[in-house]
Amino acid sequence: MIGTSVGVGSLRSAAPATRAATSGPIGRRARRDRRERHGRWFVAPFLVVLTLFMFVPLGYALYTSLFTTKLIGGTSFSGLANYRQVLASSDFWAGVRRVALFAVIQVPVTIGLAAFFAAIFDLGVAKFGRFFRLVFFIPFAVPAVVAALMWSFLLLPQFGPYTRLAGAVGFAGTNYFSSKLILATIILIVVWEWTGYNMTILYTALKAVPREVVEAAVIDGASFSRVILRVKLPMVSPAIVMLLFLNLVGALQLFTEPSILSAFQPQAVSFAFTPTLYVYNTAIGSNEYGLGAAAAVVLGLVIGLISVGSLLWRRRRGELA
Amino acid sequence: MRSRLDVRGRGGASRRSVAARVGALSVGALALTGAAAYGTAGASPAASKSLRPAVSKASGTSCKKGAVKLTMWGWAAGYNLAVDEFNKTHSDVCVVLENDGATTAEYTKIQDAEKAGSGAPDVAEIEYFVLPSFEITHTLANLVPYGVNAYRKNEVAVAWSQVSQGSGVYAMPVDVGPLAFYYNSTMLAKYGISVPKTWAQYATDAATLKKDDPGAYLGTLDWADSQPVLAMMQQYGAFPFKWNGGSKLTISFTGKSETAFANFWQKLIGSGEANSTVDFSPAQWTAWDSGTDASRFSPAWGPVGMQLSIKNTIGSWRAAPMPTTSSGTVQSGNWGGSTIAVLASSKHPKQAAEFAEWFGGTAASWKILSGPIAGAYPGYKPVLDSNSFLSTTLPISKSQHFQGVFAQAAKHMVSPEWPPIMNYVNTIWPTAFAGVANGSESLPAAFKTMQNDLVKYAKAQGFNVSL
Repeated sequence: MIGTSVGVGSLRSAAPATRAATSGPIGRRARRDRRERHGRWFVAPFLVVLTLFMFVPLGYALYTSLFTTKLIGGTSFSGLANYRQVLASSDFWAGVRRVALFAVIQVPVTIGLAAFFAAIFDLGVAKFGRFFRLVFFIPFAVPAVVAALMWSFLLLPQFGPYTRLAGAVGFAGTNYFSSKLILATIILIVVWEWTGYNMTILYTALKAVPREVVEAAVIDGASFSRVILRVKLPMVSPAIVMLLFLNLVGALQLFTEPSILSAFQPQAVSFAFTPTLYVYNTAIGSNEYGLGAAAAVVLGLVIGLISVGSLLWRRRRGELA
Repeated sequence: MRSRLDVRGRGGASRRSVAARVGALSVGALALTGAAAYGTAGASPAASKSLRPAVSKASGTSCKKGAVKLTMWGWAAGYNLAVDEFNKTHSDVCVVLENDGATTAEYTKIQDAEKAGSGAPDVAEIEYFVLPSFEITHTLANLVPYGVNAYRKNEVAVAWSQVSQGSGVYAMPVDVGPLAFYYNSTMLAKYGISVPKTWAQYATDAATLKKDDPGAYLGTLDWADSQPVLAMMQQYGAFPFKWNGGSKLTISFTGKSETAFANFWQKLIGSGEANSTVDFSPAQWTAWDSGTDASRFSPAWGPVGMQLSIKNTIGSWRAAPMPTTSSGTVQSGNWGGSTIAVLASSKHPKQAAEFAEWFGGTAASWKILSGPIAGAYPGYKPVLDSNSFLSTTLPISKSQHFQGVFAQAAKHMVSPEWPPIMNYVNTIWPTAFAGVANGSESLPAAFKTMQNDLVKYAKAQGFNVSL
């Protein structure tokens, strides 16, 4: 991801050069053909992997979604019946609404915090900046499974150290895994996991803002906050927009944290808590592979629409060529 | 670590299998935080179990040349020792034990291997409740042609009937988990309560205890866990399923005796006379150890693990037969226990059956299985009836020969007819029962939800469903 964000900048500066090369004299054409022939060989491994690990599984999922396997009666073609069942499933859509609510809160909070800390570290006003940047990044290095385990222990009803701490300051008896608070708890875990990662990308983007611009602003008498809000952040808005969509797609695929929590707090996480859990539990839990595949396709379409929407939007803003 | 290894004992806890996998993944990173804490709590003993170095060390790695090599999947502690013993005493067959995750983790893997057409083991540890789900997909081999019926006379009836379907036998029983009323004798004496013989008396006792000490409960049940609840329903004569191998499936969560069971417990829950802490959570152990909960409905494998998870009340716990609906009868239910099944895809069914029969049905194997490391509760009668077994004591029960109570329970069970849709039952169960413990949903309402969901699912799966 860091590569991508750096890439956006470098692509932009490289673009004029590329364009110049393609509009060269006709004599270069033969050389270019040869280069493209070689190019195919360079592209081939990627295409093979793409086919094996993207197109084939996608095709298999589509194929599976058109069949229904019954314990009595075996497998038979069922057309779009699985899709009709998914679209009519209140459990599935309740899960979609839940992750949408999750995203509406988690994504802005994560990016807001990330931008705040990135700006502070970028300005160099914090002591031991390098050390704290590392500390902030550590949660991302912790696998999501471990993070979920860790938090479910820290917030364990009655016995978790943080639960006791909260009890000592007047929040005794709070169950962080009750049906009311479970989503907030998961948001807390995910924000904890991802803020450092987002911060690192934004920090890198901020560092790429030319010094002269900032110097000019400072000479003109702009305050710190003004430099950040009016100069630096607007200049890294492409990175922020990209993070927005990455986080959004990630939020819609929420799976690991609730599925781990459900092992310890089974009453808190229903089998269709998120759309991905619905997919998993119908395919693996109740052996309805066709239904699970159909749900996966529907979810994939929703996420695909959001991704395409983001591409179009960014293109209109002129961020992508 | 030791203290949490046996907490769950041999219970069937499919929904905790995620925890098992999680534990396996994270123990290295979390030795001091999450995993250890959960271990202490006993929430994921299956996890700890699967981490036992003894198990993960592959058994049978030194197979003799020319011996038929069999792959076995299993997770229970001490199985590797029995496998080693088998390999030592059999030169023509060699079993390699692999731990492919506990309960559902392993079942999912078997399903996947079957779907892929390769990679399945020859033999596997499978719990009773999930056998029909594998029988209906023809995943398991019938052991009758391999002489399994010769072992029938040595097994308790409830174990044998659960591995049988029609004239076929699809697994060799290993251990069982008969329920008994396991109580804190000091606490009952303090409140002047005698051990309840009937459920009516149990309800009266629960009310008495509540009146004397509003913070205490006579007993506790985790409604979000399908296994203990179904064992309790079985004991009450209200097991909600009937299936005998065909396309006809009976589901009756709203039948007469099931409704009576639900109403009985709803009354206790509603009046705050029954606790409902999550099974094997720190809260539950603490409730038992601090004088909050006076008893539990314990499976036979329960006391060993409990002893390692409590401190203050060790020596106070006694076993008594379960209360029944009418006095003078003995009736128990089964929670947990495993079998060894041979997969139909095995290329060596004869040798695999020979191993399964040896594992579950011989003195040589049970010497190890009933030993201190495996600690399996025998469905094998020569051990179950032996004086040395019946005279066993544990510090948690002081000098009481409590094994006798469980042994009697093991022989007084009406065998449950598990439905071939237990995967689905376990998947939706926690969601359907989530609100029972905190009072946001009544037990009869949860039963009704189960009934509607299961009937819908079973019909969609092609079953001829009767109520």
